[in-house]
Amino acid sequence: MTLLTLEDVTRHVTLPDAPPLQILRGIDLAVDAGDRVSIVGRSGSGKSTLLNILGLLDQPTTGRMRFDDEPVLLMSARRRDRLRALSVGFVFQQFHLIEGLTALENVQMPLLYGSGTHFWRRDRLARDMLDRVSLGHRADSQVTTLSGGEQQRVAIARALVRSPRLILADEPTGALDLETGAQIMDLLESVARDSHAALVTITHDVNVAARAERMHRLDAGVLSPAEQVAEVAA
Amino acid sequence: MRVIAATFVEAIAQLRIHRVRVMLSLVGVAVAVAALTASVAMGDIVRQTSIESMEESSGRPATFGFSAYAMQGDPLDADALVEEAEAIAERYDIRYMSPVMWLGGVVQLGDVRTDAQVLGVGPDYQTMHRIELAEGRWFVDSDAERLAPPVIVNRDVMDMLGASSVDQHPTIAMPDGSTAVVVGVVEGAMYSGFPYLFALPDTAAALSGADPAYVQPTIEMWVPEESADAVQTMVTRDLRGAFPDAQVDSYRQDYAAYFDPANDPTAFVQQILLGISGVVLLLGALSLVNIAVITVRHRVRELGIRRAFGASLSRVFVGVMLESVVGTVVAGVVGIMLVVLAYRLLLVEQVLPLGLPGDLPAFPVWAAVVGLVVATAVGAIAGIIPAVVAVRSKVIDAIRF
Repeated sequence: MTLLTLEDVTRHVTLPDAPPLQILRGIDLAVDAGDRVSIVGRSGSGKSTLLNILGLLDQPTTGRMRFDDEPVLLMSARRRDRLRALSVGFVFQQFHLIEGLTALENVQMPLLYGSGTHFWRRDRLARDMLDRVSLGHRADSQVTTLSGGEQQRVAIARALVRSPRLILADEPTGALDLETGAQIMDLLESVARDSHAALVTITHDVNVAARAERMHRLDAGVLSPAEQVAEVAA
Repeated sequence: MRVIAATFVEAIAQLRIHRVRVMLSLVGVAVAVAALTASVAMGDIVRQTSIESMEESSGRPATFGFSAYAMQGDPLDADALVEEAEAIAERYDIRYMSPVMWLGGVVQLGDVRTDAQVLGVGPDYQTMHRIELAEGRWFVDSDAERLAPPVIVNRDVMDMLGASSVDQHPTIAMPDGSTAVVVGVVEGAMYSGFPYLFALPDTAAALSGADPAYVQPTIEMWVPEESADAVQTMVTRDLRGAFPDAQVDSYRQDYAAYFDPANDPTAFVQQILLGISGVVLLLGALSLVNIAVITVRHRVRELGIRRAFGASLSRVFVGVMLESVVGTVVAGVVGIMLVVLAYRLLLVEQVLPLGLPGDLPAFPVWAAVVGLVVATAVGAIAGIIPAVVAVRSKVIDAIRF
């Protein structure tokens, strides 16, 4: 079942005293439930903009985009917020945990915007999720006291605590060493597989990209499928 | 329900994270709410105390005084006047009625012979004038039959009698050779600094040494305010009918007949205090807005993260505003508690020239409610600007780095 489709999507921004800046051009992409997709690109290739569009944080300038077969461009901002709250989980390169909150409170945070069942059971759900990423014993620790790997595991727990159908990981290993990065990817893929969520990883690391079932390369705003790691790296 | 609860959870978490900043920014609000609550409470207490004091001296609304004097010949028979007044009270279902005689005289109090004020009153007088007793009891109907007539005195009389409590059964020698027994002690500013003695009318006349034939009581009646005018007319008419040769006068004597709240002497002071409180509140609110806006600008990334996880713009707006409201409500509660604590410690007694007739009045609940409502309103108004700043921040920029 197709979860998300983009057809001929473009994104440009208007600059003062300059022609419009084309960030994405003619993007075609389909993500099915349970898919493992990676998108590789250099800095400035439009990766983050594409991630924002996939996560309903930004809108295409032209083209068609459907989420659950519903046209995104016709959705109200409130509907997009709601859909994001129920269906999308983000994992960021810099973790983006909220300082001043504990690991448990960070994982609970998305549940404040989900369904009533999620909200009232937030403590149990968050603790279970922290257990799944082997951080149950650090639940009440301030996130600033955790190591980089632990912080990214908390971020993964936060992304997955609502059992989203789409996980968007933006450079999930970018701030970690190789070994920790590999462990985090193992964990991310394992948890995504267990919850039958689609995982879209945006990275500039070909090794991380190679772990996906389908690879794409983003170059100067143009997305193209890549069959081989060598192709991605080219 | 879920959205409200979740927004509160979020707001409280944010207040906890920024507790030092929040506490500093809310000091002004707490002080202002305390000042506001104190001035509202002070005005209310002074007004309430004044009213109680006035009720003590002139009766509760609506209290009427009826007097009857013989125009010529022998004085009017005081007993006949009282009996007629009792019959009229029963006829019109007037529940509270008392003869009142203010008699000056020289009384023998133990070894001391002194000028004193003797009041001849009936059992209802205590309720009609809110007389507070420090100890003992007030008069009852059966007291008229007692061989040793009861008297109620103030603390000055007790001191002259050398008695510390009515349990010692202090007595007063009457000019006619009989003995009166002290059964109660009144308290309050109105009855202090001079010997005061309350007695039933016959006893009062005897105690003061006045000639009963020339003692004319005033009849006081306490009636419902809504029927006051009609009752006054009927009672006056009936008294004139019963004593056609007498001059019968009636007048309303309680404070409500002459006390205009618009000319309340405490109102001016209260308005000045309210004005000062308002200025302090405004400064507190400006400080709150200032710090809240700066804080929100530093929270752009966190707000962006929340937006990424599904927080809608309205939710962010309400959340930021609610943080302000929760903060000011907490500050308001602290301010109100400080005022109540100061009040309980009786600091107010040294500040306010109340002349309290009895115990310190209860702290006015509505003053606390006013303080809380103002604190909430200030929080909501001061929260709007940072909330607008919060929803205008771009989520994509916020989570980029």
